[in-house]
Amino acid sequence: MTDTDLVRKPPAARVVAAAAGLTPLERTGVALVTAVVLFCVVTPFLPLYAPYAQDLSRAFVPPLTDAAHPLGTDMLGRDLASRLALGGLVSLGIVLLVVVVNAIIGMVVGLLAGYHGGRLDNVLMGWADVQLAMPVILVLIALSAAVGPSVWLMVVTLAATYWVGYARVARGTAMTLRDRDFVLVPRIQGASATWTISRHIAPGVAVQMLILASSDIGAVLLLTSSFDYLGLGVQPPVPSWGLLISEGQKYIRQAPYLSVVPGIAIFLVVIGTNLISQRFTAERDLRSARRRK
Amino acid sequence: MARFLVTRTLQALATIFVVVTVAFLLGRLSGSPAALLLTENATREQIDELNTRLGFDQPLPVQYVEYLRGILGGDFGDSYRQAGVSSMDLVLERLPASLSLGAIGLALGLVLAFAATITTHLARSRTLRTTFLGLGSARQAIPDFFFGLLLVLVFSVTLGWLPSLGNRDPLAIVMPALTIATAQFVVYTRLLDNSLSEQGRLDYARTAVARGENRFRVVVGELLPNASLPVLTIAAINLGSFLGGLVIVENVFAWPGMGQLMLSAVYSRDFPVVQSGLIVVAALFILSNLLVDAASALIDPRVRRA
Repeated sequence: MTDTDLVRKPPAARVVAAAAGLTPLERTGVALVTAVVLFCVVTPFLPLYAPYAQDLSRAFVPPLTDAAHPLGTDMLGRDLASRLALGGLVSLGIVLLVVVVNAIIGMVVGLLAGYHGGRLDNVLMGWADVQLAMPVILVLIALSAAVGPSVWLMVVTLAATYWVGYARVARGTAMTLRDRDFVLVPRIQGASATWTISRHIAPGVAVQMLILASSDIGAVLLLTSSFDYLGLGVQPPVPSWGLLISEGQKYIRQAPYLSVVPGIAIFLVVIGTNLISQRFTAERDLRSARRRK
Repeated sequence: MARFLVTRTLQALATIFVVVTVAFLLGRLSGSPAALLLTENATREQIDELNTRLGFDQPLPVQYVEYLRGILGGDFGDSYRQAGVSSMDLVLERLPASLSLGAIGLALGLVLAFAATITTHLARSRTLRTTFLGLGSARQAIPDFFFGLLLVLVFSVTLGWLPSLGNRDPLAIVMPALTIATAQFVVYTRLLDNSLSEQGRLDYARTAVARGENRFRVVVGELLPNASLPVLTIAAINLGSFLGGLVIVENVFAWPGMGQLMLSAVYSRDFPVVQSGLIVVAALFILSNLLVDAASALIDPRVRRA
């Protein structure tokens, strides 16, 4: 199957063709992610959905014992399935937001640096190096200590610091595309930088940004869940998967499922997205390892 | 060599200075701690007195100079929550616990990765490689805090073999160290595996095999030293994110290290403690990078000239 086959067929056929081109592992990844996302999206429409309703008389109902609470209830008698679904929407929503913002910032910075080169390139990439040396978690700890932890602080911190990887890739591609004939011709004819970048270079870079973003979803989910767990992200009573695990940790002896169930949800999404993006990341890891040597 | 070391040391000092400045500015971002330290019905005089004592009534540049002067004299500011206790003392008190956990976790991770890769290459087994890399990747898909919790669930709650909290019991380091080590495992295994395979294809390796040397001697004695350099470099480069990960693990196991201290200081809005913690972590990070650079310059003359 070649790329042109994908382009010419109608949309539905394209999806089928793309799925046929996947390896079994990649198909497993798609299935896992789809299953978890479907659960999060569909549960809010079910009659049992009540993520905040407390019922102390029905606290600590174990999973699979009560039809009204298929995944059991927590220490306040709140339905775990509802909280898992809402927590998933919150966690995954934050991940998507962070990844999209990072991809956009990184793409713009990388395109500008790669196209113009020179001093702008030095400044932008120098700043990128500085950011790479600072672990995000320490930056977030410092900011949270200064202004108090909140979910928006976490999102803004991640949006402001995590784009470096995207910028580097976008810059590299922009630099090589800049001197190719199909970009040189409009440049010689007097096209502006904005026109040249947006019409002739950006489309080539956008595909790479999409690939990078897909392989970043797992990493960002791990990161934001850790921050939620530490109390530096989503704040109660709003649930998120990381927060559910941290709430459950206090009851690990009597009700381990409170932590284990959301933990499995994180694991499924991360392993699923990793399986899907495996073929890109394996190549990239090897390349960057070789470069560093 | 001397010039290389001097430039790198000056760079390191400049970076520390930037960190100190950023930490100072962040601290002032939160404004006067009067609202935190005094009761709601404190009088105007009490608030003014506190601001004067902490220097918050001065203009920002003056406060900055005072802060720098204090640091040069070893005074990093007192904790807001524990009056009269130096924030730096609180941090340094926790440093040994963090360092020992970090060092043991990192060493264990490297030992596991080396053992797995050497076994794979000695046995020349694809199945072993796939198993190790598969297990490692699966571990990486579990957040550290959840993996730690699973260990607690199995080894403390169910089996009752290991203590789940603190560091009083000598066995208590097992689970946090395992959490750290297994998180690093797949990265180092993949790197070392590639690097060993690459070395194995080179002429000197083929010659050694052709001479009839036994496989163990070739792999461990001749290929491994060359193959392990990039792995150790990456381990050093990753130290920053590694220190960050330590914060999480310390909190899961209530390990009384710097990460736990800094996080509880965030909750209690004790900014000086966070500030001193950041400076110590940055200094550690910069120092280790400096050592790695110096070591690689010592080994490889090309680095020195660059």
